[in-house]
Amino acid sequence: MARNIIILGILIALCSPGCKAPAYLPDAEEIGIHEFGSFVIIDLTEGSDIEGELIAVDDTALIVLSKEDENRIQSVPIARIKGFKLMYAQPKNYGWTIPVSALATLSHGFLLVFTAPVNIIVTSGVTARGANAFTYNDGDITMEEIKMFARFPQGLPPDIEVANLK
Amino acid sequence: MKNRITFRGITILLLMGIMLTCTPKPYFFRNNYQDANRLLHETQNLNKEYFLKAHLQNGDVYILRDTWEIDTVQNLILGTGSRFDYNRNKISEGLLSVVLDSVVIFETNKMLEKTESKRIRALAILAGVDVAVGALCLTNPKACFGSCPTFYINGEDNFHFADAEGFSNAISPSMEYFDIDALNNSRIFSNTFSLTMKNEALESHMIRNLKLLAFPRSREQRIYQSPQNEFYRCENNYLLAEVNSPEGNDPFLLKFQDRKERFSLADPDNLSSKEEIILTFDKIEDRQDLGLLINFRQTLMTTYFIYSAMGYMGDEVGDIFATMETSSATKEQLENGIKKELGDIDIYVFDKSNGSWIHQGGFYETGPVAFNRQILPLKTTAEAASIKIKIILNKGLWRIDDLALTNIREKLQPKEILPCEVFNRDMPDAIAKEEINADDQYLISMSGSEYKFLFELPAAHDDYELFLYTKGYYLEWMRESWIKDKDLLKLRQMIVNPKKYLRLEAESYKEYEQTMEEQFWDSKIDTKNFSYYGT
Repeated sequence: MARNIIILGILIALCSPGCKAPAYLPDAEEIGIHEFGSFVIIDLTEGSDIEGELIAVDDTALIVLSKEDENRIQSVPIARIKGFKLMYAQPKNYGWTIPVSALATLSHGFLLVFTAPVNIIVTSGVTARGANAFTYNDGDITMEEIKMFARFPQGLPPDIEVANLK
Repeated sequence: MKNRITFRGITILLLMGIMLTCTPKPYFFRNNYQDANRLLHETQNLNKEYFLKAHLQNGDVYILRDTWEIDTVQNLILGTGSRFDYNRNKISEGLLSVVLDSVVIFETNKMLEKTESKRIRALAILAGVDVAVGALCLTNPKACFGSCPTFYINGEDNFHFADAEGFSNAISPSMEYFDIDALNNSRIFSNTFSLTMKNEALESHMIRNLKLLAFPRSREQRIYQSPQNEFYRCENNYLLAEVNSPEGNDPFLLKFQDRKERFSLADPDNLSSKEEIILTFDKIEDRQDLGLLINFRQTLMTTYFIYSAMGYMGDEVGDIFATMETSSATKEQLENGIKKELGDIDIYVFDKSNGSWIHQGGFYETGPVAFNRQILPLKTTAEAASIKIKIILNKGLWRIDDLALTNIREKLQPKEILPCEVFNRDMPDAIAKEEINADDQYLISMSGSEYKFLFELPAAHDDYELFLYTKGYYLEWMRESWIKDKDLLKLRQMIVNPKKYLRLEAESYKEYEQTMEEQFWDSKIDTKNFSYYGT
C-alpha cells in the first residue's frame, strides 16, 4: 500500500511538468482579456489525437489550428469525436510539493511511516487538482457550449482565407 | 495505541480536508450574447463588472476591460481596451467605440478570483501538521526516533508503556553488552508468555541473544534484580515515610509505584551538578537484610548527548566509528567519559552510632523509556524501626517513581527460557527463531520492524517473576540535519574533558530541556490501568 502511494506520488510529480499547457494560454487572472481560442485535445474514434487552438465550431465540425504543426488547420467532424479536453488557462504546477513535503517528513522520525504517505496523498491530490483546474472535458460542457471558447465564437468568418490563419 | 489513534485521526482529517477543499468543480465564467439588448439586460443587475469581447463579422475582436458601457442613443459600445484582427494582431488600443450593428456576438468573462485558495489552504494545513509533528520530534526526540529495541508485554502499547529497553549504550559492534530488565509482570496463569520487540527508531538493531530469566514466586514474594545482576527473593514492603528534598518535604511523588515521577531540571551552569534527597523509613518490623527498592529511568539528557556526539562527528561519523572499533582506548573514553562524570544514583545509610553516612552502592541504567525496577542490598543493618537514607544524584538526569525498603530472603539463580516461536508481523519466522537462539548469529531488526517472541514456561509452578535478557548492539542512522552540526573540537572536549563540556554545554541543553521535558510530561498518558504494577 505504502509503496503504491509512493509510486503514485512519483508518477504525478514526474508527469506534472510534462502535462503543461501550451505557452500561449493566459494565466487564470487574464482569461477575460485573452484574444485567442482555448487549447483543445480531441480524442477521435479512430486515429491519433488532434490538438491545437480551437478556432471555430459549426454544426458539423470543429476547426482546430495546430500550433506545433506549421499552423496547420484541421476540420474535425463531430461524428468522429469520442471525447475532448479543453484547457483555457495555465494550470498551477504543484508537483514540487510532492518530493519536498515527503522529504520534510524525515524530521518526523519513525512517525514518517504515517506522515509520509499522508503528505504524498495530499500533495499528489493537490497537484492533480491544480493540473486540471482550468480544464473542461466532454462531461463538463456540451458541443454547443464549447463554441464560447473558440477564437471565433460566432463561427468562422466568411471572408477569411483559412490558410492565412495563424 | 494513542499514537495510532492520533495518526489515523490526522490521516482521516487530512483526507477529508482534501476532499472538501479540492472537489473538482469547473469554473463557469463565460457567456455569449447574440444582441446588445440581452447583454445589457443580463449583465446590468450583476454586481461584478465583466470583461467584454465584441466579435465582429470580419473576425476582428474588441476586448474591453471592466469600464465599458452601451450608448443606446448612438448605438455604440464605449470602453477602454484593444482591437485585434482575425490573426489577433493588435490594431489599436485605448479609448474605443464599437458600432453595435457591426458586432455579431458579445462575449462576457467574469474575473476568476482566488482560484488557488482551496489548494493553498490544503497545503497550509498539511504544512501546519508537518511543522507540529516536526516540533514534537525536536522537543521529544525519543517519541519520534526512539533508541534501542523496546519490549512490550502488550504489543499494542506505545513507547510510554514500554516494559523494557535493551542495551541502550551499545551504539557500535564493539560496545555490545548484555542487559537485564525486570518485566514487572502480573500474575501468569498460562504456561506461555509472549513479548513484542519493536524498532521504533531510525536505527538498525542487531540482537545476538534474547531470553527470559524466570523465577517461581508465591503471592507474598517478589524477586528483584541488583545493579550487579544478582537476583533476590524478597518479602515485605516498607513505604517511604518522610522526604527532605530540594523541592520540599512531601513524600507523595516518591511513595508509590504509580508512574508519577520525581525529577528535577538540570543546573543552568553545570550539567554535572548534584543534588541530594534524604529519605526516612519507619515502622520497619524486620530489620534484617534490608534492600532498597527503586523504580527509575533517565530523562532525555543522555539521548541529547548521544545525538550531540553523532552531530559533532558530522560527515566523519563513519571514520570515527571505525577508529572506535579498532581502538579500545577511544571506546573506553567514549563509554566512560560523560557517564563517569554524571555518576550513579548513589545511596548512603545514616549510621547513628558515629553520625556519618555510609555509602551502600549505586544504581545506573541508561534509557529514558522503560522503568528499571532494581534492589540494592544494604550493608548497614537498621538499629531501630526507623532508618535514614540519603541519595545523591545528578540534577536533571533521573526520573524516580518510587523508593521502598524490603527484606531480602535469599539469593536465586534464574531459569533461562529461550523463545520457542518467533513471529514477524504475526507470521511465524523460522529464520528469525534460528538467529535469535544461535549464539553466533544476529537477528537484525530494521526501523519499523516488529517481532513477537513466544516462550514456554515450566509448568511446575503457577506464577513466575520474569526478567528479560538481551544482548546486542545498534547502529544509529545518521540524520542529514546532524551533519551540519559537525564540530570535532567539541567532540574531543566531550570525550577528553567531559567536566568542562558539561559546564559549557549547559546553556544549550537548558534550551532543549525546557521544551523537551514539558512535552514529555504533557504527553504522558496516565489513564491506563496499571493494577499489576504493585510492589
